[in-house]
Amino acid sequence: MPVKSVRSVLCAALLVLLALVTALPGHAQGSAGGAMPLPSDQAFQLTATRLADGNVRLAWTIAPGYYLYQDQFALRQGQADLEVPPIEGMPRQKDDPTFGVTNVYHDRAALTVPLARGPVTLEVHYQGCQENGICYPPATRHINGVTLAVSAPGDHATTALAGQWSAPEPPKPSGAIVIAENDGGMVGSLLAQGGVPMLLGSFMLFGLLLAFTPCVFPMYPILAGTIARQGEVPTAGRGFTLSLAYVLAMASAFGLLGVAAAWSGQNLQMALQSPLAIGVVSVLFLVFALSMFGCSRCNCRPPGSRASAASAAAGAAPCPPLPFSASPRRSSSAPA
Amino acid sequence: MTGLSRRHALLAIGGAILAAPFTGRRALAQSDDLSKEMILNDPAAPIGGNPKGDVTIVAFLDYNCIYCKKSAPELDRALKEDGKVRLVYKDWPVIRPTSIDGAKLALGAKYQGKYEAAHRALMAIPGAGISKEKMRKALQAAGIDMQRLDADMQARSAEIEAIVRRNMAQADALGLTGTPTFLVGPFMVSTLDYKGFRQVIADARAEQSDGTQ
Repeated sequence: MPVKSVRSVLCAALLVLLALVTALPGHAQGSAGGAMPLPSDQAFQLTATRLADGNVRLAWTIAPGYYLYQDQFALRQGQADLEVPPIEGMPRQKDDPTFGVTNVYHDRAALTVPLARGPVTLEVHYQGCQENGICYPPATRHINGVTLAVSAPGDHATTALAGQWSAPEPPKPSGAIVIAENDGGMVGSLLAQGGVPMLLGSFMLFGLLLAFTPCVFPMYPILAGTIARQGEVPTAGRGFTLSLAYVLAMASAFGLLGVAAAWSGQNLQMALQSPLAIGVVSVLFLVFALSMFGCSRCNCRPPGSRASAASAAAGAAPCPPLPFSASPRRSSSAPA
Repeated sequence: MTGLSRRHALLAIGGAILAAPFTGRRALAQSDDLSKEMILNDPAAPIGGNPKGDVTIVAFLDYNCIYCKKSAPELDRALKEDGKVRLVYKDWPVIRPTSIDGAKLALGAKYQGKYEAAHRALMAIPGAGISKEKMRKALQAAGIDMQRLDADMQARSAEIEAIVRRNMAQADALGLTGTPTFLVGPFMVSTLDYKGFRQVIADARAEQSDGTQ
């Protein structure tokens, strides 16, 4: 494969990776809860219909994410409690360590009761909850024996007081990484403790510690090769200069990556763990490996070249990040 | 919404008072009960968290409400870690007939300075439809002086009933659909996890600081 073709493949792969990284939305961490639960009559829509045999069928259409308790259906007519007939529908057992075992109906429930055609009122009681939301007080609805109209007796009037509070807006995908104020992050606490010297000193210390993590080991032979090049006598001064050049190049490479990450406004850690990103990087490594076997004529320079720092940076990229990364969070949602 | 349990509860806690004719004075008092001030700063309401906190959460809760029980430890953690949130407890016993017993027991414990201990003990009983006996056992296990509790509940019954009645009226005026409901600054939310509480507290704080600038 000609060198130009290899370069264009690599460029294309990098562009795909960059596009992928910038296109992925940031993920909000945490949730401030969405809209308030539906009113009871919307969560559990009750209808009554007269069947051919004269009985009345009560049917509940249950909104997604809501359920009715099997043991909370009750019927009354006049002063008498009526026996609740078998409920039609698919009861599901909820077995929660906090709540115990309960049978509930999702989607729909129905029952059929005898109800005379006349000026009688059937009182229907039922109770349900919104999954992981609220539990409703027991609902009482009246069914008119003539019209089969469903009515709610004595609903409480909401006053203007209700307008004083509103549901927060659902979380929006944030376009930028926002560093949470006083989030207990290491940078903030170091600054608070000892100012900039403390911050720089700590970075230096953690940087040194990072040099002893296994994922930095691949860089050692690169640096050793740079210092002890063939045919040259290494001296302390030359070693220091070469090391400094190498370290500065490495730091610049990581610095530029950091700037690019911040500029993208995305949570790159999450984006780079996507299957597509991992796939693209795997292909890149495969291409590099093939070139080492001589399958392609990529003009790889010997250790000590300008490219070594960048390739070492790529080799160290899968290492765990320093514990300084600011935690991204979504912007505070502005209420309506 | 008038439910079976609410009717029982109302009958149990204040039939005589409700049956009494509404005088002009009572009507005026009731309208005061439904003010924002009384929702946030009812002097009789138990207070938790940091009483001098910059954000107030008003929690409408029931001791038979499973999601109140689920969110209670999450809220506790969020409050403890934030340290600057004031929590106003509103016992709103609407879920099951024994909810009123739970509310009265918890409010009764307030007079021995153990409302929050009682609240946590009652919220820690799993499930709905908890019997009064089970609630009493949980309170006893939590170190509540039961003799004193019974005495306080008897001596202060009118006061306790007034608090519950006021909470019910406030919840109705707010158009609350069920429990738990939390008023967090200007926001109204239901069940949240720890992160959700932290987020809405941060949002409320930001909203309040915007409003004061």
